[in-house]
Amino acid sequence: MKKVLFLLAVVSPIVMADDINKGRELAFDRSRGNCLACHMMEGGEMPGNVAPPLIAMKTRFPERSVLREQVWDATIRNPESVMPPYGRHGVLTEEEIDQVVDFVHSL
Amino acid sequence: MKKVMLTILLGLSYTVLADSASKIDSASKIDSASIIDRAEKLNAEARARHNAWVPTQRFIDQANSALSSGDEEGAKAAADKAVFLAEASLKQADVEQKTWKQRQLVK
Amino acid sequence: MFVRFLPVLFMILSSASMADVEADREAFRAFYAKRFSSIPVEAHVDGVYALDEAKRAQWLEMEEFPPYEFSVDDGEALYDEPFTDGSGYGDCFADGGAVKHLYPRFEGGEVVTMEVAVNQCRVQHGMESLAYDSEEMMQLTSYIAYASRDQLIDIKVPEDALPAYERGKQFYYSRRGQLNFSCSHCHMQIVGSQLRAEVLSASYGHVTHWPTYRLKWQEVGSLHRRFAECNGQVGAEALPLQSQPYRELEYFLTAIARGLLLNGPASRK
Repeated sequence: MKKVLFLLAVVSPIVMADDINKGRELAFDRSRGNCLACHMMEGGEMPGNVAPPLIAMKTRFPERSVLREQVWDATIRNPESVMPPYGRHGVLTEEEIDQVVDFVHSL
Repeated sequence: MKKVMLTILLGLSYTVLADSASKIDSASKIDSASIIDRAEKLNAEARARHNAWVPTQRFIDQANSALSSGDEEGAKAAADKAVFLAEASLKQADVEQKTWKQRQLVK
Repeated sequence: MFVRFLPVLFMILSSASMADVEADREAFRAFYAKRFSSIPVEAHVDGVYALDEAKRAQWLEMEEFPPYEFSVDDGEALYDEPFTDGSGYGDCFADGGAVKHLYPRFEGGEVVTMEVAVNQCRVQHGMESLAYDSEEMMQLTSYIAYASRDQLIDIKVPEDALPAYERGKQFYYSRRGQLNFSCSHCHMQIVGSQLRAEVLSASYGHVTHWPTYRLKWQEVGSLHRRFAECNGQVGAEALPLQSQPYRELEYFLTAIARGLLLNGPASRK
């Protein structure tokens, strides 16, 4: 058991970092997440200014699940949101949404 | 006469057996082909309502080429995705029949 | 009793509908006048170049040698070329083709855009229709747009055209595509903001300057081609050029732009 816990402790940060990297790629990719079209965020060039900059995300979304819901379908909270419903309309897979949320939550 | 009947009966049961055997054989094939068929019908409906989505056809094409190259699993996955998108596009068309009115400047 | 008042009721209803078009137009003007209070609302005929100084400077430079000039010249030559029966475009269009301000019109139960009118004219005189994306069609409409410069949009929406106008309006306000945008989301709700480096322009003035030379296309193209591109950008399947929904969308956008100055052809990035 101890061995397993030790392994988890070593492995999970690596897995997390990997997911964050994949999430960043998706967020910057014009044909996928394309978050930069509207949001300013660290490391992204030529961002749009349609929506709030993605900073201090853990303060703004203490609950990861709330942030995830926002990415999955922003019209749940605001029916007139211009944010594409990435989950509801299948723009990204559930796994990809998790990766993007991991990345955005790290900002 | 009895002999003839027996022959017919045997022949029939053989046909039925052979048929069900081949059905089992190509069960997954029929499965993915019918999902593609369903996706095509739904997308045609969306198109008739001027509300088809670009990626739906892309996944139908992907499913068809996977099927013809014998990639059963790939065909089914792409076809499922196409059905999901076509259904979502039809849902959008339904919902928008009403919601567009709320956006007018003069209601 | 009720039957006797039906005509009166009909008149009240229909005059209310006519007033609706004018109310829509005024509301659009008021909306953009308020959103961009530092510029005159008529300035939106220049699209994003009304909103962004730096982009405007670059654009004015591009306009010094207008990239649509050849299209206008070739279009004029085509316009003057007689049809095989000896007639020509002049038999269909008054004032040397300075008629763009009167289009789209509602005729024979459908919206007739400039492109459709060009083809109707040809067919009437025994010529073949032109493809809507053909170079010849772009040249002819470039010339007509040029000849119509400085006219004010003057289309009327007659009683029997109101359903078409309403459908155009519905198209404008309906979310479409996988990315779930209506025209109004981009060009009203977040108008003036930047999508990456692209500034979102006002709908008031979208129809005044077509066909347009787009640097992105490297050629002159039509308003409907731009509609198709917009649809594609939000993940919606584009409709055919001059299809009924696009014609009706153009009709709605032109009706609310009544009184605006025609300034086509134009160049855009």
